Amino acid sequence: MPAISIRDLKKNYGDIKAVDGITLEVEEKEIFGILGPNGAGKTTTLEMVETLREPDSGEITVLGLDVRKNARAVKEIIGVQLQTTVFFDELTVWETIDLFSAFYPQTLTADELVDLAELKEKAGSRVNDLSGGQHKRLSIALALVNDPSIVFLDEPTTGLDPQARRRIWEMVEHLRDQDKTVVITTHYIEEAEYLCDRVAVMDQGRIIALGTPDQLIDEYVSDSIITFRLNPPVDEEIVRGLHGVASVRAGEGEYQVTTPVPQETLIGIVAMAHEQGVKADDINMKRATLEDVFLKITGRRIRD
Amino acid sequence: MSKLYKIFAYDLKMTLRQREALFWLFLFPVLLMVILGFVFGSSGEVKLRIGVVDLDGSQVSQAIVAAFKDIDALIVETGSEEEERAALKDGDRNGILIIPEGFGQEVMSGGAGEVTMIINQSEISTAQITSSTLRGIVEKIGQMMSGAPEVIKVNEEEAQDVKDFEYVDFMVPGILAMVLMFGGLAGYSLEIATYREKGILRRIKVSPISLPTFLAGGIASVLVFTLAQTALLLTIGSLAFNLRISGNYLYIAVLVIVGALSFLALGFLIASITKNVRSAGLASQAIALPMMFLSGIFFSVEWVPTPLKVIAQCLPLYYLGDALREVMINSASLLDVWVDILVLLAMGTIAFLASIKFFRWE
Repeated sequence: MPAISIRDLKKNYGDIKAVDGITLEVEEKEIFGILGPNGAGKTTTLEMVETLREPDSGEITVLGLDVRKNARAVKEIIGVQLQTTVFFDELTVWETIDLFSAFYPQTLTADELVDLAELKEKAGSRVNDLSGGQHKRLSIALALVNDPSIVFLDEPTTGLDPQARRRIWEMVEHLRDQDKTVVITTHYIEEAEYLCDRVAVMDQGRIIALGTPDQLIDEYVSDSIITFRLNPPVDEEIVRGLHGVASVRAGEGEYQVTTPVPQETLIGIVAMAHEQGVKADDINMKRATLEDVFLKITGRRIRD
Repeated sequence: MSKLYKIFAYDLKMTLRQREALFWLFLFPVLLMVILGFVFGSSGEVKLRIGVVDLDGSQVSQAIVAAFKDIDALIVETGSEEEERAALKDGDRNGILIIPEGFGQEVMSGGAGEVTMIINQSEISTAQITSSTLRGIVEKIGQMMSGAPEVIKVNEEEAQDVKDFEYVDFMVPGILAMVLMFGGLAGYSLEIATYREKGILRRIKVSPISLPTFLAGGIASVLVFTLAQTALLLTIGSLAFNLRISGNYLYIAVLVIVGALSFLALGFLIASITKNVRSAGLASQAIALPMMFLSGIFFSVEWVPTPLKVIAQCLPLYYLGDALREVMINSASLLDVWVDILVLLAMGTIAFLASIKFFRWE
């Protein structure tokens, strides 16, 4: 049984098709990412699964339970971190967690959750005194109060510095270790590539690509990118003639080529430099990213 | 149940940690009582309220009643002997004058008519004036009618068992009513609007707890604070202003709870139909402030012109003030003020149902 099954889900706001016919399945124990630009319909989709919003049409089941008919039962087995949650100003971290535990029949203890969010030294502080990262970790801890089997994280690292983001990623990986299913929305490419087992790429209310990050990159942009420097420079046409090269950009001794066979091309570059008696330097090879996938499909970047 | 208790306990804790809320809950009502107590407590310029009972109904007695009504310095009420004696007992009259049957005939036949005067002795500051004023007026009327000074004889009867009724006794139930109104319109209901704005309500919506359960915890904490407020107000009133409460404390508590809940429902309605916390706050004030001045909680609506009186009686606060006053001063039972209670409950129920209809999670 899939953790989540969505069939032909639709939601309109006036004339705007926020979610325009989505069908997908999230497997148990996987970390599933929904990647897309702002306004793509990620949050709306998530909110309908979380019972927060009524779909216009379509079906959603969570561990076999129909979300509309069994909302309460669903709420007991899911944990939700909303994008913008501000907490009770007058309560401390520990008290906030303790209060939220009154909302569920079965819960972890506040101490356990404080540990989980690594907020032990902040347990007695008011929520207002937390940094952005600590605040997000608290909101994830609150999503885990009922020890849910499925956890929804809506843009958990938006607005955080890289270090704070790392700590959130560690928390998410910890959830994977506990065999929880995690659904995470993000518009950070690295986040989706680093954390997610599978990714649905969304744009304008639709899923435009679905698969593991590797599959998506292989399917849509198989070419890798190699950049290097030659001293002294050689003619661009010589580079273009190397094995596997699909495109070349050159200037002042710096070159960037794309190739579907990066390994062969790399050998070709090194051999050519040797033959020409020039010095090859700064060689850099990288795969395409999900950003390139999005660019390839939509002609736009995810974050503009 | 322990879950509900936890929500209740945390709500209590949060309120205790809000300095501003504590000011409005506890300091403000007391300050208001102190200020009003000093300003109006011993005001000298009081119109005397005189009840005139005309048991005779002759031309002579009617002329006397008319003459009384012409005197600007008096507020003259007429009624049956029973009514007027009761009003005196309640402290609503400074004195009453009873013109007995056969009075007119006695005077016409040249004898001395006798009238009876009962003075509210408990109003120490006015009792003396009332007595001499009444005597003076009656004699004057007698003189004008016949030219002889002894035409009317005034018998003074000692009033029994009159309620000691001071301004503070009148004012404190009013302040209590006002505090309950503000608590309902501008307290917890605005808190809920804030929760909505902050997204806390949405977070509650994705958890299995029902909103009524969550609210029940909060409302329980509101009621605890309201009762504490009442106790503080009554205690300080008694200690500092000689407030005398003759009513049943349980009845007072029941009225306080009914009032708090009804106005809370009204507050929820305002919070539900307004856009955000700011506009909810403004709307609450726009409703609360005029109501405070027009509902006769600081003065008796008996003293104001009829249109104002009608307006007052259209406002729910009037009924809360009236019920509290009747119970606290006049030892009324809950049954005696059933109309007030019914009006409050009806308003509360309607407001509550409407606020459910207009409720928004975000």
